[in-house]
Amino acid sequence: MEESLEQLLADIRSGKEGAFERFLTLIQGTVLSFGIKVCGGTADASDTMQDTLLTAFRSLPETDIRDASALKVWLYKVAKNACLMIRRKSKFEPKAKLSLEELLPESPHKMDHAIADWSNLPVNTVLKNEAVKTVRKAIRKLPTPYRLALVLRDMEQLSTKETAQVLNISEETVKIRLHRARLFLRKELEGSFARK
Amino acid sequence: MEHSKEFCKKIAGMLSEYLDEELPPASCAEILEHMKDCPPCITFLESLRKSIELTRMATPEIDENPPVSEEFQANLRSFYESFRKKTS
Repeated sequence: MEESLEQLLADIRSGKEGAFERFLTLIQGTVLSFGIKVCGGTADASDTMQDTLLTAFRSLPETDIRDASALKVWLYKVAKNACLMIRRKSKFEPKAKLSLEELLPESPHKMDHAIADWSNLPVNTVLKNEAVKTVRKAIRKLPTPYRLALVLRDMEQLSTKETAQVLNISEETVKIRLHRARLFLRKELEGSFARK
Repeated sequence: MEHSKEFCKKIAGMLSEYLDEELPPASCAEILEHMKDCPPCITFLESLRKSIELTRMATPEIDENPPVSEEFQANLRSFYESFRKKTS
């Protein structure tokens, strides 16, 4: 997404012909994909995308954003707020906090048998598709604060610092939430492979 | 090398930062030293690494031209027009 964003920003501010259309093309896929990961459903994600783009178009020319990283942070912030508005209306929102104790094996020395080392299984297409489905389901089960940290860091590939700026939390909190979210996914995958 | 339950849990608590290369060198050295002689923790680390890899693969496939509402298109058009008037 970073390609030519700075030039695009300058073009938008100077009112250059076609700049907004280029901006729309560049970001709508990213915003929609982010919405699906965070909201879960395509319909909610599509609403999120539309809200995000309209807010972005209205506010962007007035902001003092100058570089690609700041624009990325600002856009994800707008998209995250739109997602949260939509998710607040959902009665299926998971509410629990993730406890580290529950995510780690009782004793790491029992892990040999518990995990059955699924991580070394050859990832053929069928197995990979199954695992990816499990991951998508597990992401939907994550409470929102953990899901946002995971999506921004591991799927959208933002840095810890950028993620902290989007979520308005400290980098330390990002690391804690990300680790717990990853442990939760690991546990779900372990359970899924153990059943096979 | 220490292999108590509590020490392995301490190591497990640092593994995300280790994989993200965000740990101070002293903590990395502690993990590497522990991993030399703790197969369960190596397995745990690899399973966490695989989970992250699979998460990166789990990006949803999306339609490049997603359907948008008429209201959105109208809002966008009206925004374009007012913005062009301001900048022309």
